[in-house]
Amino acid sequence: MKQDRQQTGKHGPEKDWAQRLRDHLADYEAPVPDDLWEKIEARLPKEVVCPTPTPKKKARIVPLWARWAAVAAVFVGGLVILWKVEGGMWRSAEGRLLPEGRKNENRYEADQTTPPKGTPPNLGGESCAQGKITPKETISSDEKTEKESAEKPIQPIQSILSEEKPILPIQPILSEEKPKESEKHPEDVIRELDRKIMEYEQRRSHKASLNLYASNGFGNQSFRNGVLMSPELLANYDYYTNPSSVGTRGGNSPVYLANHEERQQFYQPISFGLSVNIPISSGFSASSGVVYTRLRSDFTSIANSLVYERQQTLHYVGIPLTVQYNVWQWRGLNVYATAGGQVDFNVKANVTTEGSETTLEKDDLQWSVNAAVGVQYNFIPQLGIYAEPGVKHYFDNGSHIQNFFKHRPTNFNLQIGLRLNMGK
Amino acid sequence: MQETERQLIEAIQAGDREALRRLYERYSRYAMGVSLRIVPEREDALDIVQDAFVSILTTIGTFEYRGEGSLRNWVAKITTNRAINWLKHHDRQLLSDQLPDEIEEEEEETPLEEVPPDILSGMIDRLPKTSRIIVNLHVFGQMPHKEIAHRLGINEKTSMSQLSRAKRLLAMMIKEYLNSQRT
Repeated sequence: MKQDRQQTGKHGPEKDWAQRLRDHLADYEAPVPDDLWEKIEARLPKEVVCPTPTPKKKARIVPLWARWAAVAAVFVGGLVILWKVEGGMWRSAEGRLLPEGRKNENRYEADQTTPPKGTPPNLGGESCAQGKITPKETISSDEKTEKESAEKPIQPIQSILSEEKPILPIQPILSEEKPKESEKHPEDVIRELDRKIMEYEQRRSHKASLNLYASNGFGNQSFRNGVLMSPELLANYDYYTNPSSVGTRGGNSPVYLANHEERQQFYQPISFGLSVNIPISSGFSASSGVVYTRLRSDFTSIANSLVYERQQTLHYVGIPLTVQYNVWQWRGLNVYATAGGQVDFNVKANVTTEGSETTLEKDDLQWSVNAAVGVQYNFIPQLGIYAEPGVKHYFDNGSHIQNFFKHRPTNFNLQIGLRLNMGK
Repeated sequence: MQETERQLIEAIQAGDREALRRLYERYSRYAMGVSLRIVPEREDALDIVQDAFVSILTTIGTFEYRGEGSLRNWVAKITTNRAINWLKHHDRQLLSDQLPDEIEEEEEETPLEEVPPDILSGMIDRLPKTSRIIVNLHVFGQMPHKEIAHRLGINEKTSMSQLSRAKRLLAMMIKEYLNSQRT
């Protein structure tokens, strides 16, 4: 009841709290900087805006073929085609929507809803004299006035958007919105449009980035094996014909040498990389570069009290190629998913035995695929830190060289790095 | 004699570009006040005003004049819309706030009118974020709680309880202020 009174109290005999507060601060104003008008004017069309006709007419400004083309471009065009198409569009969009001089002026990216300075206004060539001013100043209630007036910006914003026809990603937005428009509350429509425009702009403004990172797997791999007695030795002991000569086990069971053991320790790979991330479409980007990986393995042979150790070190230089999709972005935080592959070339292989280093035969090409989820936080627009926990699978390259990849082909890893966002 | 809103609109629709400037001069500070009520950071509020005015001036042709004050209301509404959208995209914490429901108490009459507008506005700015936004949307934007809940993605009951909380806090601040003025 009290709530009702708050909402409708201004029609009642007594002013309620909300009405009194509203009345008291009705003329409250806050200063604005002197140059605000220049900034606003720079974003206005050169000609004075003319009234728009009925909302339905404005909604048709986007040609049907353009919508279908846009939908086709998104759903059928594919990633690479989209990239190529946008490569051209991108630059024109950059110039039209967000002139260089304005980039740092406005942190809220919703200004793309209006044509920037220098953009020929596409106002349908109507005369401004056609403007609608209702002859009678009849207002049924303040609420009605505000309700109706508040709905007015809906169609104009759509029509303004439709003027950005050359910008491919906006068209699907409109195409998607159109069929639902009549079912939605007008404020829902404007809100949804604003949201999509902002998301699009955030993705559009995504520039190439340079990544410097380190990566490590989780957990080492170690094995302990007994040493089998060689067949020649077994023959000498006449084991198969006289098992009691070497023990109580019979048949063809393997026989292990007492006090003999072989240990293998495969350390997780450690990688350092430098890569470049290039946006290829809204939300998607591709990344490639160069990555150095070191693999170390220790082999220990124990024969009675004699310990024989070898350290094998393999050095790889790899080329990764990954595709990244931005899932969620908020302020400086960005969550994304990434997947791709990598080929590693073994550039150096050596083994150190009791302090003496010798060169080994190089390993074959090592192919791998990986997928990860990344979280990035930008301290400043130009620099961010990121972490990518993921999973990686190494394919068996068929070589005889024992290493971590062969003994643990699938493993979890964590990549941590710095990302330098270029062009910001 | 000040140009009426009707004359201003007619001038704009007649192609007088200077009239756009006059509209801006007339309502930009008011829009800034509206924006600051929802987004207290001045830089953010300025961005919103800038966007709102670009939208207003570009779409002024569609504005349907319905009496003196309707243009001012329209400016306020567009600015409010922009500010809410900004808020939703830049301040998600609001949406995930676990807001305790306040028990509404019957307050005594608060002498709002005894506080100068700039002081009272400052008090509103000092309210907790969610309460402040709800006061501004409900009181100045004249939005019912149902719409506020829908726009902010919060519970209707939360909107009501936060308004109640704001009233109580404001009453407390006003009381303190008036006491300090009397001593």
